[in-house]
Amino acid sequence: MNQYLQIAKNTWDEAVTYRTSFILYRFREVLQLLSMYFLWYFVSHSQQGFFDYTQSSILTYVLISAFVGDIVFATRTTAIASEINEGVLANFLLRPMSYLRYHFARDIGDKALNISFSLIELFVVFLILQPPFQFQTEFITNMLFIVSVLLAVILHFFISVLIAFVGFWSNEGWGPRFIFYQAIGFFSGGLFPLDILPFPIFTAFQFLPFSYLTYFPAKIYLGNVSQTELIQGFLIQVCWIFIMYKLVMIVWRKGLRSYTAQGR
Amino acid sequence: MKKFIAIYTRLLTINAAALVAYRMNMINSIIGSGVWGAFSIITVLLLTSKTTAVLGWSQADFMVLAAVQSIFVGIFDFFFSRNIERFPRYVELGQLDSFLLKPIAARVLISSLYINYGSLIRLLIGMLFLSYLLTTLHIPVSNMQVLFFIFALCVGIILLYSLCFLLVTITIWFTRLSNIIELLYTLRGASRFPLAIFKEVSVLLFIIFFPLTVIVTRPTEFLLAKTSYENIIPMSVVALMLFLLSQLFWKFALRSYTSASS
Repeated sequence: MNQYLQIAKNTWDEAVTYRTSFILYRFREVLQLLSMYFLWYFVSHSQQGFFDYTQSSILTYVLISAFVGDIVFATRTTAIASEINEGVLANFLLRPMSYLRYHFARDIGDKALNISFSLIELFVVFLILQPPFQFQTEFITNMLFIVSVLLAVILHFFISVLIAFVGFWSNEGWGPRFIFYQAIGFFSGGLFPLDILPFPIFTAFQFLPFSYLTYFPAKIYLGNVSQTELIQGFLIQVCWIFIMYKLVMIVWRKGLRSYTAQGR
Repeated sequence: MKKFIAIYTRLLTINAAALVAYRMNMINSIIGSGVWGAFSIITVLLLTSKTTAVLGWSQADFMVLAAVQSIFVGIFDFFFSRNIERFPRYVELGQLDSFLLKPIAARVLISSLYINYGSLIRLLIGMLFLSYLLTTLHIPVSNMQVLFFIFALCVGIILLYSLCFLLVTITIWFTRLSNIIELLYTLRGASRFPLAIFKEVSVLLFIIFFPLTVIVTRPTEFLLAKTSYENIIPMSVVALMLFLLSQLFWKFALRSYTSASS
């Protein structure tokens, strides 16, 4: 356990060492958040309510989904494809530790740093803009929100690893990842709440894993989820984690069989 | 100029050959470009589905803006994105030497070596969507408006290119700052929203976003007759100044280039 904690700590230290690069990345995230925030601000301001959302609930959704996105999508698994392609994976296979746990620990370190910065940024945004934010006061709802975010973190980790495993068979692992992240902003509810989509599309989205990365946790925070929807949502989220885990293990075993440590 | 046209024609052919040779790369690039273009248009459609007007921009205006942004990004990515993205790597690995030693202006070669054919999909999506909007929504467009639209689009591309080049030149001193260009692309993403949004909110944000939102907003305004023709002047002046500044900065930065790791 200690070795993985050390790996997480190293990831943190690594990011802090190249701080200009990291601060630039965070600055980019803040600008992205601000542009989305103001767009929604004016769209919701120009009319009485937006679908089933009031101005305060839509702006709360925008801020919370940005925060959840910072936690869920911060990842170091992007390095896996190149580690496979360059033969670096061979080094890890010889070490007395799990390659997947190593990357999960790196993700935790990365997320910890992103959460710290995200909280500071949100604090500043609140201080300056004083948005009409709906603070969730229900203890149970807050707990459920935290659980859904943790499950989203695990789900995203497996999806991201699965995409990176393309590296076993192709040198162009960036392609599927690029397309995935193009689509994820849309399918996960990071750009808008998914329930504003036409009902059949929204229903279909609920059975895909992506809406459980941002939309579902954000909706729980808003307290707009009925008990039935909550149970159904958590069940689907857990099911997708299980499916993704199984897929990752199958692909990992198959990939290792075809791995030639090329480049070593 | 004649020499450059000959070189560029050759580059077009070489890049086309590379496109066919690395087919998977091409497919990824085309799908990515198409998905990106389609999603940005769908997002705007959803966003404005219940709105009559936001800060003087109707739903139709927003959709035209999204289409123009798709066209703009398609053109910019076709010519410049890959080249600008590779620049920090040239500096970090000391590969900039090979450009400096060639009998052609290094900046020209660096900016034009790679051509992204995949982005033509995004350009196509934007053009088809724009034609569809102009036809179905019966938006009257005069020849003058089209002329100013094209001119403003070109000025916008020069403006963004100059800004990008100005920023990546910084990596000559800070080689690890490779994600600087991603920051600019994030700002470029904001160009699908009208300039008025940032103007309304804060002066600081307006200044930060101004050059990047004007690049798409202004051509759209010309097309929709939402602004007077004189407004091309400040935009052109800013673009020209930025271009000259980026050239001066490039010359100045080269003095500090140490060719480390070459």
